[in-house]
Formats: sequence, C-alpha cells, structure tokens
Amino acid sequence: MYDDIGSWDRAVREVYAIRYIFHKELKLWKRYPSRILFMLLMPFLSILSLYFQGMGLVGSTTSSAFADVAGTTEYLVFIILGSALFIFVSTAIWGIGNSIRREQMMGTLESLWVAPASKMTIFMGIALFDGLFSAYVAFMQLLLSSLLLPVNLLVPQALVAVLITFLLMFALYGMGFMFTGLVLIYKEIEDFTNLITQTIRMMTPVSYPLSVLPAPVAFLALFIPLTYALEAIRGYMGVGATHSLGYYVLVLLAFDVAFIATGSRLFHYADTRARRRGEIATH
Amino acid sequence: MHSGDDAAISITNLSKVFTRGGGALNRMRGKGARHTVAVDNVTLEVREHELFGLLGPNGAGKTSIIKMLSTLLIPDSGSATVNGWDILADPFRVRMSIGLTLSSERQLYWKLSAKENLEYFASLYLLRPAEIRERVDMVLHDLGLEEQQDMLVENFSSGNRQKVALARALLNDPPVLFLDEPTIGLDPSFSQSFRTLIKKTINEAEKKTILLTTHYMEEADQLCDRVAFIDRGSIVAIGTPADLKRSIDEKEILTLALSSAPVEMVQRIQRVEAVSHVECQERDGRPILKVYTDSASSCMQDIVGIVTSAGIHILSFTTAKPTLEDVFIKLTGSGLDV
Ligand SMILES: Nc1ncnc2c1ncn2[C@@H]1O[C@H](COP(=O)(O)OP(=O)(O)O)[C@@H](O)[C@H]1O
Ligand SMILES: [Mg+2]
Repeated sequence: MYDDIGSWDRAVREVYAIRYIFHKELKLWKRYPSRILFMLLMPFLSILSLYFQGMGLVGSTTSSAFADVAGTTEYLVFIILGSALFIFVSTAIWGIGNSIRREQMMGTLESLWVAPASKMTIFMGIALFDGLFSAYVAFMQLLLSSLLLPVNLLVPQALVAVLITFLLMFALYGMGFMFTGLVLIYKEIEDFTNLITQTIRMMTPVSYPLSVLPAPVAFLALFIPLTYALEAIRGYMGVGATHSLGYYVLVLLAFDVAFIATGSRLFHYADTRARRRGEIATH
Repeated sequence: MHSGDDAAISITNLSKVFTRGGGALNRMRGKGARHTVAVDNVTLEVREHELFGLLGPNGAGKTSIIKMLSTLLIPDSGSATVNGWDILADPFRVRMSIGLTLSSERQLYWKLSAKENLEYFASLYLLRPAEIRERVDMVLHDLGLEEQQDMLVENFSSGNRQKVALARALLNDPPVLFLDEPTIGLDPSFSQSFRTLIKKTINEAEKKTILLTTHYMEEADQLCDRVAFIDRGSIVAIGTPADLKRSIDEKEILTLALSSAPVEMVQRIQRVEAVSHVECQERDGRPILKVYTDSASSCMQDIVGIVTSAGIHILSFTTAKPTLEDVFIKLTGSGLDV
C-alpha cells in the first residue's frame, strides 16, 4: 500500500511519471504513420512557402522599405525567426488542451483523472513531448533556411534565442492550462483556440514589426509575452532594435509567474466544476 | 495508514443531483434546467475484505456512487471515507488507496500493448521504475495475461480488455477496489471465469475489499458477501443474498409463458387458495405470469385448470425458489432489465 508516501518521495515519483508520460506520448505518436510524414515534411514546406512568398512580393530576400519600419533590411530572416517561434506558441497554448481532449474522445480521461499523479505532472509530460516536437520543427526550419536560402542565420547568439524561448514557454503553458480548463467545461473549443491563436499572431510582431500596427493594437500587444520574446530574439540575431537582455529576461519572468499562477488557478476551477457536474468524461 | 474505524468504505447520507441545461442562454430561451436525482441520501458501510455488490437497474445511480467514492464526481451533500480517508478532504490518499475499473472498453489505450498500458498507468500511481517492472510482471502473471502482454489492446477480446483493466486496478496493490459492471457485455462463459477470478483470486486470496456494481442478479448472488438493492438513487434493502431471499414470504414462484392473458383469468388465479399474488409481465411480446405461492404443488393443478379452460395455451411452465430479482421486484415494483 502506497498511501503514506512523504512529500519528497512523492516529488521524485512524480518526476518519474513525467518520463513515462513522455514515452507513452511518443509511442502513441509513432503508431500513427501519417504524423511522421507530417513531421518530416512540415519544416520544408513552411520555409519554402515563406521564401516564394517573399520572392514574389519583394523579388529579393532583403528590402530597404522594410528597414524603414523594422530597422533592418533582412525581412526574410525576420519572418523566418517569427514563424519558428510561433510554432512554440501554438503548440504550447493548445498542446495540452488538445491532448486532454483526445483522451476525452478516446475514453481514457477518467482513468487518467482518477490516478494519484498530479495534473501538473500529466501536463508536464505532455508539454515535454510537445515542446521537443516544436523544438525539432523550429530547429529544422532554421537549419533548412540557412542551408537552402540565401540568408544569414544561425549566428552564435542562438543560445540567447534558446533561453528566451525557454522563458517564453512557461508563460505560454500558463495560457495552456487555462485552455485545458476550457476543454473540460466547453469540450469542443477548437474554433475558439484558432481564433485566439490567429488574434495573437495578428497582434504581435510575428511577420511584421509592431510599428505597422495601429497604435491601440500595438499597445495591446505589450500585454502579450510573445511580443517581447520576438523582439529579444531578433535583436540578438541582429535584426531589429532591442533593450538589454536583462530587461527581456525580467519581463518574461514576470509574465511566467503571472500566467502560470492564473492559468493553474483557472484550470483548478474548471476541474472542480467538471467534477461537480459529472462532466469529466462526457464529450 | 488509515485513520481509525474498521469499515473499508463508509458512506453517510450521500446525495447527487445532476443539473442539465441551466445556463444563461437556456434561461433566456425560457428553458428551465432539468434535474436528475442520481443518488438520494445513501448510507452504507463496506467492511474490510468484504465483497459487496450494488445491484440495481440502469440509471439507478450505481456508477455515480462509484465515481463519488473514487473522487471523479463531487457529491452535493453527505460524506464518505475510503480506507479511512475522506473523499473530499483527502482525495490524493483516496486515489492512492483504490483501484477502479469502468464499464467502458475504451478505458485503455488501444494503440498500446497491454504491458505498455500497465507500465504507463503504474507510473501515474506513483510507482518507481523498479516497482513498476515488478508489479506489472506480477499482475500480468496473476491474471494470466503474460502470453498476450505485447499485443496491442485493440486486438484483444472484450473479456481480455476487461482483464487488463482489472490488472491496471491492481497495480498499486490497493486495499479497496471499485468494479463498475465488471462483466457487462462479456459472453456468459467468460463472465463466469471472470467472476471466479474476482472472488477467488482478488477477494479471497489477495484480500481486497471490493465494491462492485451490477444489474445481473446472478452475479450479485454468486459473488457477493452482501448486496445492497439500489433503485432510483435510494438503497431499498441491504443483506446477504440468502437473507434477502428469505425476506420474501412466498417460498416458491411459478412462471408461466402464455399465448394470452385476459384479465378475468388472472383474477381467477389470484383467488386460488395458496396463491399470494400474481404479476403479469411481458417478454418477447408474450405475456409472462408470475405466481407467488407458499406451496407450488398445492395450487399447480388449479392454475393449469383455469388456464386451459379459458382456451389459452401454456407455452412453458417452471417453478423456482425466489431469486434476488424476485425480491427486487417485490420491493421496488420493477425489474432489473430496464
Ligand atoms: N454526468 C451526468 N449528467 C447528467 N445526468 C447524469 C450524469 N451521469 C448520470 N446521470 C443520470 O443520473 C442517473 C444515475 O446514473 P448512473 O449513476 O450512471 O446509474 P447506473 O450506473 O446505476 O446506471 C441516471 O438517470 C443518469 O441519466
Ligand atoms: Mg452504470
């Protein structure tokens, strides 16, 4: 009987569980061959379409008009970095909720929910898998860009980009917890998530600098952590203006604390509500 | 380990009402909320090492009780402890103390093998890797699943899927097991061996306290030390199967399948001496007459006489001791197959 484990012992056991959850996600993923094909081809396709789009509109990989609004002529690098980072955004916000929704549809959610492992452990196992998946796609995009396209990438400051992305992830997962709570309450929230994801993409400097946005929208963008992460990464990769690294780290840490605290509280509220209404398993 | 009393499961005045469609949007459309009383003031105690059955028809509230005890559903009022832990105050320790199988075949990952399913769930029961290897091998062996351990669950028979679910419930070696309709949808011969497994291996040899739900009266009768009848959320009787059957005054029941059953004829049978009461049911579109009596032999001739003189064919005729279902019908006025 294991009902009397201590809190340190429990913490160690929860960490082991994260590893098993990761492996289970990996095994399930490998048993759907179409997903492997998608993973192999995705980075190529997205990079090439960005490149052709740029060549069609601008005719080269740099633009002096772009320098007027963004402070750099390297517009293609600018967009490639933005879209690489955005891969993390969409999986982090939607990944856990999506996975929980899948369990709900498959019928395994109650078995998961009745287990003693903390919900955060379950989320971390899923997030680890999704995070590494996103990292692979983003890395492949950047690698392919530097190999195939006439752009200058993979500068030594890449480590800064990794740090910033890492810090950004926590804030995004905070949002992810919130969306997971919404899954428990509203079940089918794909349209809503797409709406939110697209709104974030529109409001933040993913494919263009903030300066092209109307002032009120640009102001609202300041409340989205992605804005700062994009600015920081591009700054250290040599495209676009920037504050000091310390400034970005602090701002992102503040977002992390606020979003994780809010997100886990909202999830807890939603979970309690669903358990009160008997709606954990219902589709 | 646990905090005091001897009951493995103790339920006090537990109630649950489900509310559907009470949102603001529905109110604006003038639609009120629908309320379903699923569990109505249930009080119950299951002793350590007991195999206890909740017997009742579909919709009686059995699953809701199991889900409240396993922390998946929060009660509206009342309280309960499992292995001494309060379900509301200490859900973590309740979860550590229980194993649960649900009636759905989809409670496992079909794209994983039996062993992969078990290893994964064992980690969610917070076993360490070495414990996981040991326990998974042990439950696979105990339930006779070793041969198929690497087969994907999607290729299993329904019966073996239920076995894997049972294996999963045993991973953390919990003192208390909840089995929700363990043999639903299984073929009869498999059900029989599965029941033996539950009783002999899990309850008697491994000494697990088991609370199972069922709407099969033979299952409750064969397996359970004690049974609670549940109907529309309420417990209507609790006792050993033998006590419950003795509680019915009539000692025998005649069951007649007839070509038709006109009211006057039923009334005449009712008036026969030694007949205490008659119930008319329908099965496969044919009337079935159940005659409750102290002594079948003393009224059998009279009944056959009444039926044949009315020009009605007797399609089958059986006499039997009362079953749990007869007791259930007598107490609630309705059967178990709803
Ligand atoms: N999540 C739910 N929401 C609304 N009604 C429910 C829910 N779960 C069960 N019910 C209702 O509660 C009653 C009891 O259901 P249940 O506990 O599943 O009974 P049983 O397991 O005995 O068949 C039924 O009328 C059922 O329709
Ligand atoms: Mg049920």
